[in-house]
Amino acid sequence: MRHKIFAMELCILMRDTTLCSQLRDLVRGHPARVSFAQKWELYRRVRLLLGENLHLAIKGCWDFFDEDGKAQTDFQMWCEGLFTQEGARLTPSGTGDPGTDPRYMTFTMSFLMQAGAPSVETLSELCTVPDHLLWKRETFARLLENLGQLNFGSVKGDVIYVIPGADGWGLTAEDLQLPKFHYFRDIV
Amino acid sequence: MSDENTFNKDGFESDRNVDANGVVGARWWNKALIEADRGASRRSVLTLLAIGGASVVTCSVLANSCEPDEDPYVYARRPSLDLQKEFGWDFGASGEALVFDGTSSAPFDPTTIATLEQDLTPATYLPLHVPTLLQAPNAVPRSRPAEEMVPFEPLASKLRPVHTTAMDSAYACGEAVAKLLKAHEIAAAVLVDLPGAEAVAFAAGAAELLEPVLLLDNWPHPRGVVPCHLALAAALYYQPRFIAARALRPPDSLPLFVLDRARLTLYTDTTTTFDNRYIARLPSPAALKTGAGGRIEWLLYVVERDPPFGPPESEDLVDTFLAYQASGVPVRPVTLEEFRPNTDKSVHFGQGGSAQADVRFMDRFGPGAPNHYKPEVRTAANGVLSARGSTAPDEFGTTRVVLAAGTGAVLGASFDRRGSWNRTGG
Repeated sequence: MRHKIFAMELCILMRDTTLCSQLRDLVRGHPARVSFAQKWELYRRVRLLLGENLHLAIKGCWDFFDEDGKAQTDFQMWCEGLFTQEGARLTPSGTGDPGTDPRYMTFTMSFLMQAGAPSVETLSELCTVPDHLLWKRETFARLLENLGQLNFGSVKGDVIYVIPGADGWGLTAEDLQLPKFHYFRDIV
Repeated sequence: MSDENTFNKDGFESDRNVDANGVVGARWWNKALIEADRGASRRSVLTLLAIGGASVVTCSVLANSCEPDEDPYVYARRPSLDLQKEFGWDFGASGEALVFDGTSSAPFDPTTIATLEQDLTPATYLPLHVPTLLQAPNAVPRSRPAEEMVPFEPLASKLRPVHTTAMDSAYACGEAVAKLLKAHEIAAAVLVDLPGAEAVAFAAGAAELLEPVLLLDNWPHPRGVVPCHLALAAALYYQPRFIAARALRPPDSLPLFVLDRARLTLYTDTTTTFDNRYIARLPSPAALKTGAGGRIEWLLYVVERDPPFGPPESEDLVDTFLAYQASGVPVRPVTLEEFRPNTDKSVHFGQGGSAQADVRFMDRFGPGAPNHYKPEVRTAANGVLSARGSTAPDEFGTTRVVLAAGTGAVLGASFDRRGSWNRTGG
């Protein structure tokens, strides 16, 4: 089997803890064993929440790679981001203040997909985006919307995570300046 | 998926998760593709399942294999109302909003929804009443679809009263019709066939003199073809009026039957729409004749306006109207336009009470007045329904659902692309 990968990560200003809590609840509430339909429903709700709050996303990145080896390597890389807790803080940061001392959350999802499957190829076409549109908010919105077409029967593996895992552990503006977050692009 | 066996065929399984203060997340693997990658063949073809229930009218079975985009699901159509009663009014669209036209600034106590059905249930004509719509707000599903993860919220929590100028107009017409019938002691039952909210408003206007008998036989749905939540919202707006009118209404009042004209609405997008249409359940000729102690001499059929092409009556009424006429209960149509002040003054009936209007009304509907109306039997070419209007085609009022191939359990609605199963749906 050959693979392709899609991944998206968003860094979102936390006006309060609502969105972060909702996303965490979805992740925690997603059973260890799920059907394709349950998986699809999880991401429907994720897409809904992210779409409603996309105006608060300040940074992000997304990628789609056709090359089999890179797809597998990158998927492992996204998984390691969770397992090593690389992006997470080691100490609490407090609740901050959205105006003067904001806190940020990140949401990450990545799919290792079966090359050649119709819905994967459709997604591949949708991810063919001109360079000047790559980091547009509208592009993120369109990709989120079109993820609804993905057939999870053709998704070999997925990883999903939310930072922070608890209130009071949000990322600070200083955290986002760390080299480990340099892959983030400003969303315009 | 409802059981372990089903999961063993398809699905994801998590191998690692993290739940820490800094981050929460997990990884899942698609067991079938992992096995496929190992060279394990798991191709098998499902046999056609005999799905229980006479309500299933179509089904298709997909191969369960590792081929891309082939899912182990079965598709079937089920009566929409049955699905809603079993799984909830918002079956397949949990969390989606109802769209309300119109607003109401009048004080509203949501607890009154609990008594809406009781407040609008007729006393005299109870056997002819169809309570379906009024039962929706407080109904609780017997179960939830196997794949549904959104908690159920009753329709009552989504409802609010609405008020529009069209409702005002219909209300005034209802009041006028009732007054004219009463003033001239005309023994006619009334059947109002208007868009839901206006039909309810008409009934509210007439409710002091005629007893409303609702024939609204569906439930609202966020993706419903028929926006019948607007009729409910109008009923909420007029609920105090219905209560007050009932106390004033003479016990021998004649019936006013209420239908939602949108019940047969044509639609084409079956992939995103919930078909909550229905065929009107009118009283039989015998029931109509005997329902008021044998006093009903004819039926006044109220529509919005004469359609530019075709007859005024809705298609599903044709057979019943013909039966009424055959049993000596003629039907006479009238339009709301004929009651509106801005209509040509030489013909309109106004709001009743004027001598000229009374004369005109009696010329049309008084004893001995000619009645040339004849219901028009539809053909396959001009009908929404089957060749004879009172019979629905097989898929009318049904919704396509996804069933677990192994168990026949309803997984969800096959709307749009709401589910991996939908990519293969025809």
